[in-house]
Amino acid sequence: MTARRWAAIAAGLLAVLPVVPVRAAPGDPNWVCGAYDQSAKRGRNPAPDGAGHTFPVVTIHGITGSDDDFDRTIDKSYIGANPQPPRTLLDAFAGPKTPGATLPPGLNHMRVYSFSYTPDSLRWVDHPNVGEKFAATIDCLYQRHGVPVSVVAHSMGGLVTRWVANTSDPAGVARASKLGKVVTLGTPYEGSALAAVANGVTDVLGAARPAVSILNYLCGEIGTHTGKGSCGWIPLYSSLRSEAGRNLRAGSSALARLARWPAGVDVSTLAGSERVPLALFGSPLNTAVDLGDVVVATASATADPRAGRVFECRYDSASATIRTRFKEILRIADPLERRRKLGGAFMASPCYHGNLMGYVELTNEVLGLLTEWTTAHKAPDIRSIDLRNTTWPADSCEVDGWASSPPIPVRNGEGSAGNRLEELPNGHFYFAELYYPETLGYVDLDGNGSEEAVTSVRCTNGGAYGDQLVVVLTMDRGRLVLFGGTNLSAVSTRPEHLNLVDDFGERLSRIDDARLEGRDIVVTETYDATGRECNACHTGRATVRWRWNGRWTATLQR
Amino acid sequence: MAGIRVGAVVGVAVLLSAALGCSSGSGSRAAPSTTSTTISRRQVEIAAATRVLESLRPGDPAGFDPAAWKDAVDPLAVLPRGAKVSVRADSWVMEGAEASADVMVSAPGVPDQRHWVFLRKNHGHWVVYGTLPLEVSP
Repeated sequence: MTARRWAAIAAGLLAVLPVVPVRAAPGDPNWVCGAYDQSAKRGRNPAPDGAGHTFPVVTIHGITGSDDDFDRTIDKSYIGANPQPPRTLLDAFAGPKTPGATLPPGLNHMRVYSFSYTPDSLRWVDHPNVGEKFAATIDCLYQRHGVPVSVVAHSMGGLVTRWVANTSDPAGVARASKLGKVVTLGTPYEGSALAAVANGVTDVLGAARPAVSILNYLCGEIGTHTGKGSCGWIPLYSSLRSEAGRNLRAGSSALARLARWPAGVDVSTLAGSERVPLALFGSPLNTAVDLGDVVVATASATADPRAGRVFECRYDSASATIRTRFKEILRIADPLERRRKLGGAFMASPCYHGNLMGYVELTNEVLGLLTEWTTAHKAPDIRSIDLRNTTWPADSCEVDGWASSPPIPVRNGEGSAGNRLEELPNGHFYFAELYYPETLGYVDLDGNGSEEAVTSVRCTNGGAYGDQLVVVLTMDRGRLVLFGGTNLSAVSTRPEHLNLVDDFGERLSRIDDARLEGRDIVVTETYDATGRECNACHTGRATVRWRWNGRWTATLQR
Repeated sequence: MAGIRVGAVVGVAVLLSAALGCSSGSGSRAAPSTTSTTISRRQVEIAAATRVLESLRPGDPAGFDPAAWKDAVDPLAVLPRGAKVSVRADSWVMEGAEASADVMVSAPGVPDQRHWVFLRKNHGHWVVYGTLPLEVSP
C-alpha cells in the first residue's frame, strides 16, 4: 500500500472518529469500576429491591464509537404514526427529567453505567484495552452490586461482550454467570456487509444480490475494488479497513474463531432493516430489498441467537415524503452527488446502524427487555406480599406496657401473639391481636424509590372490638418490617410512631377514618382530654395530616 | 440442433467480449483470459442473460420470473409500450445463479430510464426477478 493511500485512510479515520466526550477530572465520584455512572450523573438514585439490591446495566459502544453514542438526542421516529418527544436511551434509562415523574417498576431499580474503549475502538475484541478491560468492569460491577450485570451493546460492543462471556475471572468463575440480560443492537455476528465491500471482498455476500449491489453503488459505480469509486463519505467506512474492520467483514477468520454465546446467557438481538422496494421496471412488486442497517445485514445482526427482533424502516408505502425524496435524488445528474444523497437518505433512517440507539421504538424495546428481566429477578417488593397471609413485624400492634410485642402470624386477615392470660403490671396483657388488615395504598414515603404499604388494622389486647390503627410497612433486605404506625393506647417516644393527637396534648380515643392523600396519611380521630379517666367521654374530633420527613410530622386541623 | 444453438451462443459471447470488453463487475471476477479468443463459462452466461434482457417486451411474461410476474402490481405496466432494453455490458455482476446489470429502457415518447436488473437462473434459464430504478429522467 502506498504512503499516499495510508495518508488517505488516516485522514478518513480522523474524519469519522467521534469526539471523545468531555469528562470530569480524575476523582470524579461518578467513575465506578472503569465505567461512568450515568444514573448518578443525572441525579437519580435507583431504588433497592426488597433484598436491598440495585441492578447494574452497562452500555458498550461499537467500532469508532464512544459512550456518548447512547446519549444522543436523535429521535428519528418520523417513519411511523406516533412521533415521540426526543430523548436519549440513557435519559430513558435514568428517568424523565420532569420533576416528580417516576420510572416504571423494574427500571427504577437499575443503575446505568457506560463503558468506553474509544482510544482502542479500532482494535479487535480480545485486545487488552477492549475485551479484558470490559471483563474487569463486569467483575467489578458484579461484586459491587451482588447481582448479575446487564449489558446493552451496540455493534461490535456485542462481540466484545460475547468474548467476555466466554472467559473466566481470575478465580475461575465463568463470566457468563455474572451477566444478566444482554441486548445487542446491530451486532455483526456474521460480519458486516459494508466491511466486506470496504475491503473488496463481496463473494461471501453474493455480490449479484440487490442489497450488495446497492452498497457497491453507494461506494462507487461498480464497487470500490475497481478503484472507480469510493464511499469514504459514509461514516465508519474508513474504520472498516482497520484491524477491527477487517475482522468484522463477513466471512473473516477472526469472526469464525469467536465462540458463540455460552449457554445460560440471556441474549436478545435487535436489528435495523432498511427496506427498498423492488419493481419490475414500471410495476412495483410486493417485495423489498433488505439492506439491514446498511452496515450490518439483518441476518447477521440476528444470527446468535437466531430469535432476534427486526425493526423495519420501509421506503415504499410508509412515507410518500420519502418516496418523493428518493425520486428527486434519482433525478440528480451528477453520479457522485446522486450517490452521496442516496447514501445520506439511508443514513438518516432510524434503522441506520449508527442511529439504532436513538430509534424510539427500538429504545422502548430495550427498556422493555431490561424491565422484564429485572422484574423477574428482583427480590419481592411490598406489593407482592399478601398482607392477609403473612407474618406482621414486631410491634405492629404495640401494647401499652409491653416493651416489644412479638411478630404476629396472620392468616386470612387475623392473627395473634403472646398470652392473653398473662397480665402486665398495668393491667393489660402480654397479648396482641390483629384483625382485618386493609391496605389504604402504596406510596414511597421516604423517597428511596421503594414503596411503603399504608394499612388500616384493628388491634386488641384481648378485648372484643379493638382500636383502629394505621400501620405502615416496608421491605428491608427481603423482610417485611415496620416503618411506623399508631400506638395502641400509649404515648410513644419513638419517632417512627404516629402518635396522633397525643402530640397535641390529648389522648387518642379512636380513629374514625384514615386515608392516603398523595404522600400524606390523613386521619380523622376522636380524642379525650388529657388526664380524664374515662373510656367513652370523648371531648372532640380532629383531622391530622401526617407526613414523613425523616420523622413523622403532623398538622392538626380541629 | 442443440449443437447449433450452443455454437450460436458462443458466437454471440465472442462478439460481445470482443466488442464490449466485458469486465468483471464484482468480487467474483473470472480468471483473466490468456487470449482474446478464449471464451469463459462466465462470458457464455453473460451472453445468455443479455439476450434475455434484450428480448424483454412490454406486458410479456417471457423473460421474467413467474413468481415475480405474478406479484407485479400491474403486469401491463412492466415496460412502456414499444420499449427497447439495452444492457451496459461492463456492468455485469454474476455469481453462480445470480446476476445483475444496468440497463437503459428506451421507448417512444418516454424519457430513457436506467434500472438495475436482478436475474436468477430458473430451470437453466436466466429470468428477471426484480429491478431498482437507477436514474429517473426529469
